Amino acid sequence: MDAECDVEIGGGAPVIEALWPGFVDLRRSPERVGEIQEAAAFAPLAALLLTLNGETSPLWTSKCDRWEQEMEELEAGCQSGLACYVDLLPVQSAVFLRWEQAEAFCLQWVACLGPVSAPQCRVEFVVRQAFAGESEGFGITAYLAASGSDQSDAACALAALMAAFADVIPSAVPPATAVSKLQ
Amino acid sequence: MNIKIPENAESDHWITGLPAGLRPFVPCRGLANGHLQTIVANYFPRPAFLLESAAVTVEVDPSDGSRVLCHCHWQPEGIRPSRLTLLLVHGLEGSSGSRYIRAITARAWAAGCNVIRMNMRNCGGTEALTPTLYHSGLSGDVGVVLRHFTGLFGLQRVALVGYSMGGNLVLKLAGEWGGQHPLCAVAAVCPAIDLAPGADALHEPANRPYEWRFLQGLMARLRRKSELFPDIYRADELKEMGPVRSIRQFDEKILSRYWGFKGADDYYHRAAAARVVERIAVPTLILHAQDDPFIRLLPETRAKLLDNPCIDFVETLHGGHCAYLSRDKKDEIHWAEAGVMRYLQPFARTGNGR
Repeated sequence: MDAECDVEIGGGAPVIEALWPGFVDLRRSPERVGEIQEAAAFAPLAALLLTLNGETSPLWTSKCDRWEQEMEELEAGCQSGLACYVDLLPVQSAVFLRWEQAEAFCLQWVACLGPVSAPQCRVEFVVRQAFAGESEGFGITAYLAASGSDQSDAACALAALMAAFADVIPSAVPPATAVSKLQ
Repeated sequence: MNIKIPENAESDHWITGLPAGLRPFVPCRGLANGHLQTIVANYFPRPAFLLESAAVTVEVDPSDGSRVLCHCHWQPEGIRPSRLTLLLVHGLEGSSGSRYIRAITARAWAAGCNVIRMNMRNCGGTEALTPTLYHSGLSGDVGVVLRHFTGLFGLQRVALVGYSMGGNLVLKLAGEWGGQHPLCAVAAVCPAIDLAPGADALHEPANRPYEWRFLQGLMARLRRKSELFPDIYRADELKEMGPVRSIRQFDEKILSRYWGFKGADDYYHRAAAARVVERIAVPTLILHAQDDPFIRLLPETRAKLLDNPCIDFVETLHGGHCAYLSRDKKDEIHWAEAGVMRYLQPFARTGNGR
């Protein structure tokens, strides 16, 4: 699968405001997933969000969205495409304490996604500055995109991509100190 | 059974009559959607499962030595035979450790029942215990397990409880057995009674994530079988079969080949409990949600269920697949589990429950 990681900090790059007014705490109340319109409209996204916020996941999620891709964004030979993003933060410390820590976590995930067979799909992780209440640090926006011959085909591909993506969530966030020693 | 049409959406979220003891199902707020019910139920927090069990393997086919693994919870010896025993059967790619199986085990144990959590062949990490694959028609395995423990402990009353594919297995056995001792009752939650339309429904676009999950599990299991039994599941043969992209394809290319069915449709016909439900002769509860994403009931099957006086067929508007998260509080939030135990309660107290 085509997966990559990027870092966008400063210079007007978007920032993750994790505890935004529409925030739903799915770790505490998974049954509230229906309150997230995008998840209610596309069940595979609900499953993805609940897995990302599940007991064994080292992450919690903030905001998400789903949209139809423009023609120029589609994979070759495809007529339709769907994409979504999910903002991800670590459970352990509310935000990633260092951008290198978030990047290292993303690279682990990219390595796991590499062997996954998912034609016409791609994943991009972007490390961003993030705020969660009083906590200031870094978060990850994960973009998932899938193309297909028509909208139904693209929806199936995105659903499969979400399931595959959730299957290989790294089990732990690398400690910030260990990452800094590696740099 | 008389069909009652709901008069308003708030108070009536069920469309058939309810047997005594069952409460009307009102879905959890925000979860009046079959997909969300199905998905959320898999993540809904559950209390830790702390009951100790005895692991026992039972030979289900002497011709090839196939065995299944059961996790058993026995009441003390003196009272064991007289207590109701629940034999629980999980769904496709589930196991004796599935969340819903553990949850109903805890309830049944608390109610004083013996409980047998049966793994279907290969499930629960038991691929090495049988050279075969598993499928929806193996109701005989359930019967062998029932007979094994009945013979061992002199069990006087056994109730079968099955979920989804396990629901088909227990209903099929109940149809095949009729009123045979010691079977006293059956409960099936979202049983996959009509296999062909269910398999085809799984391939609908909205259901691909479920199908993808099932296929991932089935294909991973097939690879393990090929490692364990390379002479049966030959790598070159499996490669020749090409990619498997749907449950129907799996049943057509893999299951039929190794079980000797003529094809997927032959398998669906022969394995479906729908063929025998009219012969069920013990009290039987069947729960089915109209918004179940992939379980389909054919009109003729529904008619058979409604015509059999032994069957309490409860069809709700909502509930998803084996989910039934209700608006009730505490333990009652899991409506199907609470309902099944209420239904079986009379059999725990007396011999016939009626």
